[in-house]
Amino acid sequence: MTASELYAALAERGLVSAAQRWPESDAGTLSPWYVQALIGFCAWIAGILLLVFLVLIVMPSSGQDHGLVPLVVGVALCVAAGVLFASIATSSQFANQLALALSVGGQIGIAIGLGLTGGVRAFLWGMLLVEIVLVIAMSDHFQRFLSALAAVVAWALAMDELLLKDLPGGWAYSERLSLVPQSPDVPWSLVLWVVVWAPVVFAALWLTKNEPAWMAKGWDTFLRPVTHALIASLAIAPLALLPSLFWIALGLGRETSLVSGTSSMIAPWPLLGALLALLGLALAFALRHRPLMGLAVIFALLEISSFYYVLGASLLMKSLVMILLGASLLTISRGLQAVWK
Amino acid sequence: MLAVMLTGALLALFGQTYQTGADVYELFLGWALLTLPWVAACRFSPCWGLWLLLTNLSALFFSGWSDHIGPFSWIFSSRFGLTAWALPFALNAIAYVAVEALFRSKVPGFDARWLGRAAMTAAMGFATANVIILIINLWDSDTPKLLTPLMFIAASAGLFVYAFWRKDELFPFAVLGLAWVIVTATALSRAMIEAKAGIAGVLVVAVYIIAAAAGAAKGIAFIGKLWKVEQAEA
Repeated sequence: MTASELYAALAERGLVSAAQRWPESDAGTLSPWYVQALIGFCAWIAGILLLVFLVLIVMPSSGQDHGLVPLVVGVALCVAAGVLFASIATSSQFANQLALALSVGGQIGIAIGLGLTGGVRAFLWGMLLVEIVLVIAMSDHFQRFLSALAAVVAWALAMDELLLKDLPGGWAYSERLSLVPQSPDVPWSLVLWVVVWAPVVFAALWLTKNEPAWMAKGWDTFLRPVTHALIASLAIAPLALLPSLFWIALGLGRETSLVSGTSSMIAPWPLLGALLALLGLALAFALRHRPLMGLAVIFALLEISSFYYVLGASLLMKSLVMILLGASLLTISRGLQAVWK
Repeated sequence: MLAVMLTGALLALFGQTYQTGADVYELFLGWALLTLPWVAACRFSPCWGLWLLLTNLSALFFSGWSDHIGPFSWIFSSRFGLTAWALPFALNAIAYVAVEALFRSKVPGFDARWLGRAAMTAAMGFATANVIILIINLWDSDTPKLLTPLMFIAASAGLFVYAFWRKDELFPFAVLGLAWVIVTATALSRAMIEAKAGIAGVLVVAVYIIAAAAGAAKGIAFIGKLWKVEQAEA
């Protein structure tokens, strides 16, 4: 059975839309991966140089920190990337990678412009809006994936800044930093966690569960990268939310109290991140997407490592916790195997 | 393979416990030498890959000292216009020739294409780094400058002729294309700086990279088509 025959059979049974275009086979037109890697690398370097050129050419000679210039350049680059994606990027690997580089450069320009003109709050909410627009406007799969992932990170950071106001650059940050070590606001942190992750978890679950339905309606090109990005964000994005391993590593925010072990209430926090990563693993397994499964496993392990370091307990206590946890998991595993058999 | 890895951990523990005073390159060199019989007996490509990685690390750490110690340090030193990356280049070039010969002879443990590709990429990577360092840092110094570019050109020419003669994979041409684009773009950037081209220089280099990458891809595609035509005629 050929691909077109399979498509006709699926359309006949109503499993895919008859109006949906079947993706053309690209086996004969695509270059080998190493040629694509060569082209992609050069496209990125050229894109960065073009970005530098544009910034230098339009930068005001007065040397003032004006946010309008990077903002305008960023928007122009994103528009150029969108035009490239919509026109020749599907047939040219170089154009595709150049468009991606221009788009990334443009987003950085917009982020800098928003930060300079409106501060950290404008930067976060503005980037959330920009990324959502890019998800809708850009036709490239990888660009949509990156934008959706960045949108979730921006959403998490924006809500953090709105509720707790202690992100680096935020108005309450320096005030809070001067008071460390202190106990983090655990109830507010939990509220923030639920507010941020509930919609993301719901969306990821809904999209995964209804995959056949939206595929049949021909929304695959739009919802596939979004679904993948939401699942990836469950693994990656918890690191963006305070407190997390990422911020601990930077030595920023409330995490000083975690490192010093003075805040036992918040110590299991990374386990929430690990739970989200494991949910991402389950959803990736449901879609049979191995790279996403690998990503979830790596970040779940990172969160577990983070828990190990912030526990604030002695090595003996940590060893006992790990032994008990390992024994419990093995017992559960054996029990589940017996149930499945 | 696990035994090969554990040997390194044990050597590191030994060095840490008894404070042997050995340099880091000696750890990797000893690790590679001690495990060579196991690797040879293992007949497993990933194990050979690990061993090559160890020898590379040893060479890299040794190169950091090449102006000071070692019986062959005088060869790989700046007095001959060579940078510290010349030793790893030579090592990987020899490794590529050896792996390629063993691959062609169907020797067990060398049946994977990626092993030779990795050695070749590493060799050309170090040769490229040599030339870039020369262009950026050494051009103004009094050291002889011919040896490093000659080494790069000779390696490129040798690889091109060999790959063109074998007619079985395009991968070497992609490696060569990338290496030459990087080297020529670096040289062009240096020339732009010397000519005080300013902002225009950035645009010139960007346009050159776009043109060079497109040319390299077209060239590789042309070679692929040429081989197909020859196969069809044969």
